[in-house]
Amino acid sequence: MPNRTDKVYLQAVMVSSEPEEGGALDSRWTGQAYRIAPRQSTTSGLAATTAQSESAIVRHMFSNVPVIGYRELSGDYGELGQALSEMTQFEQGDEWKIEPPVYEAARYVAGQLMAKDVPPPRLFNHGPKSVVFNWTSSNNDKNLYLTVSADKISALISSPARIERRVEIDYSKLPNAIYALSASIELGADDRQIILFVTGAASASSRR
Amino acid sequence: MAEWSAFVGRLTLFPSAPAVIPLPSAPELYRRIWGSDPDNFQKAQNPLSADVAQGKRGLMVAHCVVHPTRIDLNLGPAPDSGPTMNLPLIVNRNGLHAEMERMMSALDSGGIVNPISRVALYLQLLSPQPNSVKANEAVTSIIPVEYGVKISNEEDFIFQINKPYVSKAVLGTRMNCITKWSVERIQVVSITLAGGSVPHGAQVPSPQTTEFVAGSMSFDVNNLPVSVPLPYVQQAALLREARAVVNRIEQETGLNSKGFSNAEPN
Repeated sequence: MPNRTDKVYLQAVMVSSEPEEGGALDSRWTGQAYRIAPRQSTTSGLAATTAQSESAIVRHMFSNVPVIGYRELSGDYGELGQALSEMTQFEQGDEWKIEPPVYEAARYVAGQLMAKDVPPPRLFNHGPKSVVFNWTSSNNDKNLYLTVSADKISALISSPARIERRVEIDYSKLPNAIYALSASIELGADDRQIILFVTGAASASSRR
Repeated sequence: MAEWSAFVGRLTLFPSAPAVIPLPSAPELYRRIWGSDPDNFQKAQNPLSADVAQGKRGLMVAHCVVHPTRIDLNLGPAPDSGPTMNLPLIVNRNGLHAEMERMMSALDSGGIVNPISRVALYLQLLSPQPNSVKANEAVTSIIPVEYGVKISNEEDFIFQINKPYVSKAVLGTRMNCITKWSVERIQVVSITLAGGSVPHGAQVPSPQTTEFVAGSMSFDVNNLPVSVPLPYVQQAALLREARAVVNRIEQETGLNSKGFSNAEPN
């Protein structure tokens, strides 16, 4: 059974589907326009998680070590990898810049997700010390945010009304923990589109 | 009795966490194991792809594949360059074991210093046959009788078991020991590369594809991921023990493996 959580955290990344006053367009990424949506951290909508547990059949597994694919990456994971690589190349102080250990952590997590056939996430910038991977459920009623730092990963599942669950994930529990979380929000097959957003980091809430 | 030859040998190592110390590049790893530069190197074009370094080792080809989440050290047969297209196989089984030992020795001496939580040894043996019926016969002749597997003209046969064991080399480590018997169809594509420049309008030969049917027996021995990384001496110890287990199963099966003199201590 999944561990129940009994902690409440402030969530630094808040993403709106509506245009945000003060937002801007950025077209540095492969000719596409991505909305920069700095948001203020807020406690509204936060709810203490209550004691609850869920079980889900994720998949049946054998103990075999899978064979690694040699094919060149294409499509969405290819774009995700490219975006991570480019995020290391910005000048110091650029809001897109990520630190090398964050890059290593992000590509490790992304590689694990890819190996488990988890649909590719959207990528959010979150300051130099972490990146955020995001998935939306097929019926748009839940979001999974995975905040990847150099030494830890935290996951948050939210609905429009509230934060439903927040868990810390140990690297040794990857990738099954993420697979279970992504399965729990029922990702749709059409969620395989990489979209890049920039959000304010936790320390940048005064930008509003 | 059907004759069997090795087709692939592989060691895999899984880093337990993102690399604090960068993983070695594929050519660097190749040099650490074999002491010379690889013949070919394909640098990953994407951070989520693998670096691949490749070099010829006698009648075999060695590949070092470095990916953010795993490192693979592969040995396979060198492509057959003769006029007739054959299924390439490793005919010198003792040579394969010597190269695998070289990989393990490199681990023993700290060839990969990154924290590793899981190791795996894979070995596949093939017995080429003219058709599925003959391949079924070859495979069922080496499946222990207690499993009672009987097939005749069926196709796409697979039978797999896992007999886990607890390691004696690294106490308490649980190992999966998977044996798979199957009949496989293998396609070999041959591409003729023209030497020098091709005159304008000259016809370029199209790739030739040949399909082979073969009985297959493969072993996949791997540990359950551990929360505390395995020191590199333990990585090599688990892999040597896995190899000894594979040798024992092979002998118990009565498999007649080409070029295998059982020179290795069990």
